[in-house]
Amino acid sequence: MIKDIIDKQVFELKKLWANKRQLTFQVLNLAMIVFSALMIWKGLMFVTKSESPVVVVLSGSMEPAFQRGDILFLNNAKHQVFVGDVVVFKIKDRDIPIVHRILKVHTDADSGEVELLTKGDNNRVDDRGLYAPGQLWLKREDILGKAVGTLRYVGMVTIALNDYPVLKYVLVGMMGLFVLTNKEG
Amino acid sequence: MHTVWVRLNGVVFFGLTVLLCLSCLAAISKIGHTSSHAPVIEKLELKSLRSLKSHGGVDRALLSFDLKADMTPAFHWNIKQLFVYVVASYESTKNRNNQIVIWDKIVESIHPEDMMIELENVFVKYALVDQGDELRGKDVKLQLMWDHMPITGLLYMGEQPLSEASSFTLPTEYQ
Amino acid sequence: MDYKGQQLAELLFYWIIIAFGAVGWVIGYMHQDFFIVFKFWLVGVSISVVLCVPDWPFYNRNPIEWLDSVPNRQVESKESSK
Repeated sequence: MIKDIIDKQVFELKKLWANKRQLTFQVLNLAMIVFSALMIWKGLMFVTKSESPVVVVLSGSMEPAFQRGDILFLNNAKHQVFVGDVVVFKIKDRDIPIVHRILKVHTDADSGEVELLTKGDNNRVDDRGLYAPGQLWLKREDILGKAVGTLRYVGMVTIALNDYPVLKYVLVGMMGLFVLTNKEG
Repeated sequence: MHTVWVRLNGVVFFGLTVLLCLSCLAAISKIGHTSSHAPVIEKLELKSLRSLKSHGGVDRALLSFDLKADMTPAFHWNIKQLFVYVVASYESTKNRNNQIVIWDKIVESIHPEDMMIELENVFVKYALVDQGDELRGKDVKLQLMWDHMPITGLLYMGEQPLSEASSFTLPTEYQ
Repeated sequence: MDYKGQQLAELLFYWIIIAFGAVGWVIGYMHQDFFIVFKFWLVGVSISVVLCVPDWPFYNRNPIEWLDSVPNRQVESKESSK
């Protein structure tokens, strides 16, 4: 049966290639979808003033509250952070965002700048071991945003894609194929 | 709806959409819950100061405290757990505000027996450490705060009013 | 599945899922337990999958009536319009 589906798709693609106007129409259709998604993402980035307004929880360090596969909505618009806030931060020069809770806040008397220490709810020790060598505190600019909302399990797809990268190509390929050959709209 | 796949796709995604709506409705149904249901904090105060020393170049205080609080009113069907923590706050010349979590506890809705917290002479989980050497002689306030973690929706904080927080003064000499 | 059958299937799973979801939500609210809502939802979706996805005979009661084919008729083929 899989062979039939593949044959059917190949046939549809051949038909599409023969009719250039149809092909252009479908490609523009695909582009519309991609650009709409991009606009929504960039719009969210602007409103929340965060470079990644939605993140997927990747590790178990905040269990049982946040589990692997939950998604978090972040907001970076407020400058002040408080002790106990759940924040997402990145260590300089590292790619992975970390979701932990603020354990200590020291607000400088002169500048008002804060120095922060974080810790995962499920971890035994604070995050000093994760920071860059010699770094004792996080600064406000290391924080990507404060977690304001959550949706469970929705990020499971991202985890699967992370653990099995080949799935990414399969998924995008299938989606592209479907949009190109779908005659509706 | 002409093939098995299209129908299956329809059922699954419609189902998920409905689940999303139900989750959001559940979250909305509990807006305003906190204004009428506040946890009852009977006692949060210092029991004894174990030591106040200079440790690795910074001042460090180790102490124990008593805590009696009933967190049950804060729970409702959209709350998965409450992250309860004790904050020690004080001012110093270097920092206009220092807030340190000295103790925390996760209270899950599936363990109602944890919701009534009655602890005496609890040792701190995280030492009260200053960035410099300014702990001596400082007034320290102890405040209970908690973070509501929902199943779906917005996270929000609650805290014991600062006016009701107990405070103590650290000695002026190391001990 | 014929057209009427498809329509019936779609209508059925819409209402089954909504009904189970709504009832589950109300009962869950009364007990302040979201897991109840989830259980009702799961039952609703499972019933829908069993009832509406496979091609049951009661979905084929209005088969399409095709015209009889006329032998040897010459059909002019035009360029497909789509």
